[in-house]
Amino acid sequence: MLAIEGLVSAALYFTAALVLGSLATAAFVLPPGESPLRKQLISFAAMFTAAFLLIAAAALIVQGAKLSGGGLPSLDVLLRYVMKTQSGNVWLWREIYGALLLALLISFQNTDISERAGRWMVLAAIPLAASRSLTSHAAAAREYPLMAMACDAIHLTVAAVWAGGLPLLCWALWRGSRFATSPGWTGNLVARFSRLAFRSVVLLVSTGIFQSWIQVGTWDSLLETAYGRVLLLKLALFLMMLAFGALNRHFTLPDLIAAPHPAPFPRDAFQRIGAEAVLAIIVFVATGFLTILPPGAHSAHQLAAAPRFGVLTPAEGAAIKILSPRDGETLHGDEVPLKFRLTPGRRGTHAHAYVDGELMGMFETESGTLTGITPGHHALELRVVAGDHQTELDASDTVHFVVK
Amino acid sequence: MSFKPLIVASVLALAAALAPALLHAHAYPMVAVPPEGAVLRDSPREIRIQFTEGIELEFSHIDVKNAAGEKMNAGNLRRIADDTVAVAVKALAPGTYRIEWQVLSVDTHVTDGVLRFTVAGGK
Repeated sequence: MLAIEGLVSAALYFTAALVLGSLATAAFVLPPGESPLRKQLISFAAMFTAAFLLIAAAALIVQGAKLSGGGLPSLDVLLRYVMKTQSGNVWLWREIYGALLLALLISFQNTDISERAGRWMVLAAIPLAASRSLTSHAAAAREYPLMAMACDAIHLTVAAVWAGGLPLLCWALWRGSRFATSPGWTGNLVARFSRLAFRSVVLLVSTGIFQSWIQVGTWDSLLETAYGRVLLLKLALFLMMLAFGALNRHFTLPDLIAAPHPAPFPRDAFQRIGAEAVLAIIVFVATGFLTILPPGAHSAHQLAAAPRFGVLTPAEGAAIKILSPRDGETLHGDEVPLKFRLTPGRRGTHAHAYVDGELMGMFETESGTLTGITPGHHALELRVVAGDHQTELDASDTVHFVVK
Repeated sequence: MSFKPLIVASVLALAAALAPALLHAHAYPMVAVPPEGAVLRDSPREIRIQFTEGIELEFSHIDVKNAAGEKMNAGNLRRIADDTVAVAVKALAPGTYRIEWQVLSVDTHVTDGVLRFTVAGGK
C-alpha cells in the first residue's frame, strides 16, 4: 500500500509540474511569435491537467483504502473523508479548481494568445501544484506551520516550473528546430529557459533549506531516519541536476548559439538536456515518497517529549527499597514480578523502573510486572519520582538479577 | 556520451533508500496519559494522547479494552488540541488494559497502535 501511495503521490506531483512546465515554457521560454508551438503547449497543459484530475481521483481511492484497512473503500468512507476532513476538503476544492482550469485551457488551446495572457495562465495553474502544501508534512509542522506551508508552496511551484519545464523544453527543441527560420533559434530557447531555471533554483535552494530544517531538525535525524536518507538522496539528485544545468548553460548553450543555420539539433546537447529531465523525474519520485514517510523531526520530538530524566533532585525524605526480585535472583520467562517499598517524603508519588538504564515502566503502586525482559544478566533500578512525572528524586535502589 | 549508467545508478540508489524506508510506518504518540506500561493505583478517568502531528477527529478513535476484549470507553473521542485527543473511560477494575488507537493526521496518513497499562487497585 505504501509503495502504491508513494507512486501515486509522485505521479500527482509530476503531472502538476508538467501542467506548470507546459504553461511556463509557453509563456516565458518560447520567443515571441511562436504561435503554433505555444498552442501545442497549451494543449499539452490541458492534457496534463486532465491526467492530474484522474490521478487525484486515484489518490482519493488510495486514501479511502488506507481508511478502510487496505480494502476497496465504500462510497460512504469516501464521502465522509471528502466532506468531513480538512485534507478531504482540500482534495475536493482542488478537483473543482482543476476542472475549471481544464475548461479554461481547452477554450484557449486553439487561440493565438499573447505572452501576457500566457503568464496569467501560469499564475492560474499555480494553485494546482501549490495546494499540495495544505495536506503535506508542512501542514503538520509543529514549528512555524504557516511559514512552512508558504515555503512548501513556493518550493513546489518553482520545482514544477524548472523540473516540469525540462521535458517540454526537450520537446520544443526537437519540434521547433525542424522548422526554425532564424539562426540560433535553439540557443535562444535554451538561454531563456536557463534564465528561468536559474531563478527557480535560487528559490528552490532557499525554501528547501528552510523545509529541511523544519522537517528534519537535527543532523542525527538526517542520517538516521528513513526520511533523512531519502532527503539526502534527493539532494544528491538535485546536485546532479544542477551539474547538468551548469553543463548545459556553459557548454551546450554557446554551442547552440554558434551553430550555423540550418543545423539539426545536436544529439549530444539533446542527451544532456534529456538527462537533466530524466533526473528531474527521479527527483519527483523521491519527493512523492518523502510525502509518505514520517518527517525525521518527529523522532526528535518523540525523544524531546520524553521526560529529561537523569538529573536527580534532592530526596527530601523520599526513599525506595526493592523487595522483589532479590539481588542475585534467577528468574524464568520474560516477565519479572516487581515489589518495592516506597517512602514518598515531601515530593515523591511514584516510581520509575529502569532495566539496564532504560526506562521500562512507571509504578504508582508498590507492585507490578516488568515485561519483555530478555534472557541474561540485568540491573534493575527504581527511582522515586515527583507528581509532575518529570522530576526524579535522589532516592533510588538497585538490584541485579538473571533471566533464563 | 551516454548518461544511461548515471540514470540507472540514480534509480537503484533511490530504490535502495526506499526499500527499508517502506517497512516503517509513521511513529505517532508523543505523550500518552497513562503512559505505556504504567501501573496505576486507581482507575484513570480518561485516556489522553498527544500525537506528533495534528489529528482529524473523523476516522480517528481510541478504544480502551479489558483483558476480555470488552470496550471500556465512556464517551466519544474529543479534541483537546490540534494534536491531542482524549476519551473518557468507565471505572476500571484492577487488571491489564489495552489502548487501541488509530488516527488520521492532517497530512493524510493513517496510523494505529496499541498501548498498555495496568490498574493495580490499592496497595
